[in-house]
Amino acid sequence: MTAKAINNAASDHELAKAAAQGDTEAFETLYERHHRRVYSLCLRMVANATEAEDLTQEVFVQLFRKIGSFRGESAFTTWLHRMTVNHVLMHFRKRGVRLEKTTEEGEIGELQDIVQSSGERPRFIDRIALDKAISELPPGYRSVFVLHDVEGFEHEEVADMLGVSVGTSKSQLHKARMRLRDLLNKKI
Amino acid sequence: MECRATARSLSDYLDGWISADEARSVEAHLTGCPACRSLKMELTELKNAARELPLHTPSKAMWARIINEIEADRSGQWQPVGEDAGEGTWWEKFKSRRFSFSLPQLAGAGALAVAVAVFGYSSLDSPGQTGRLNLAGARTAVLPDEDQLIREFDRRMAAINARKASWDPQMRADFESQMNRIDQSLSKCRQMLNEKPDDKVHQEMVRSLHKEKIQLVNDVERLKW
Repeated sequence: MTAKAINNAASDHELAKAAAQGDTEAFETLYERHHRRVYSLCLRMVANATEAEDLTQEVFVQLFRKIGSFRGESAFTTWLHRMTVNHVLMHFRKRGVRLEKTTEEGEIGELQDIVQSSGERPRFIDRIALDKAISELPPGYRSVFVLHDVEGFEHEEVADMLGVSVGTSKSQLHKARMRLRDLLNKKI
Repeated sequence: MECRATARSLSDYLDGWISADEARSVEAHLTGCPACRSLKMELTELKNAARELPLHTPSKAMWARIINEIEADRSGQWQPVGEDAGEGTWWEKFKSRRFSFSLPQLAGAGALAVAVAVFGYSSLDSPGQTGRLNLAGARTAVLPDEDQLIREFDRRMAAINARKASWDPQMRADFESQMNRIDQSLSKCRQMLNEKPDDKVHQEMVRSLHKEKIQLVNDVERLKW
């Protein structure tokens, strides 16, 4: 069995342990397994392919430096995604991106949106159109939507990562969904 | 419960974040309100679609850039310095800085760049010249088949050079930033190859980075920028 085949059969935890000993082939296998999800997460959060590439590169370099601190208490994927989110948020802070705060009343005309509803039949949402619509959201809504609905983090985790209250996270998620629905309906 | 209140509670309802009493109120309203029922269906579909979004793929040169940076880190070539020593290499810090230049400075830099390019290309054409000027770290062939890749790139690049001036500035900046990144990696790989000429991994990386440059120009050509 070749080294590559052995690596392919190994768990993330085993590969992380090997990479922590300096095994770059094991690290490459981890990269092959996870780079698309890390890049997709970065791309959806920053909505810019060049920045997303830079961030993905930085995340994996940072991952290699810190991989020895992975103890296997959580899934490797969760650990890596958390590291990625923190890195993107750090990037936002450096760039001075403001994650907008929402009020209880909100600025989206929800009632009007309901009236403009497209009927009761379920509608197939084009995934590519949804991806494009996500990129058009303001950064704060986009972050909450990507973290909660795309990545599956809970509101407590989202609030913790973004430094907002759980109430704000929930409120921003609802507004993000309503804005997305609006954007998707406009494209039909 | 009226429509506005129902609409506001729908996300929490779908995520299971409201009390049983509130859920009953929402359900009672939904039974008699087709518009809110439709909104609920749309939000449900949106929520489901979000979990099934396709994954995106970064450029093929990404791994080469990462492993180069790791190798450089390990060999101590680019040790982090200063207060944020744990944050990244000097190159990362350099990249993250924002520079601004005055018009005369830019004009001077442009003139210098043109002079270097003219000198570089004239040096390439000089008869009897054994070496080649290293422009963007990609001009001196270190592999037997590298010249062919460089010529292929130059040929394609010449085709789009004439149009480049008319591109949208953001597009041009994106293109140049992408090309610079590949050139940086290429330069580092070639540096490694100069030290270890038989290193198969770096030989392959150099070829792959040249192909990446050609691919980038092909993409530009295909999109008719």
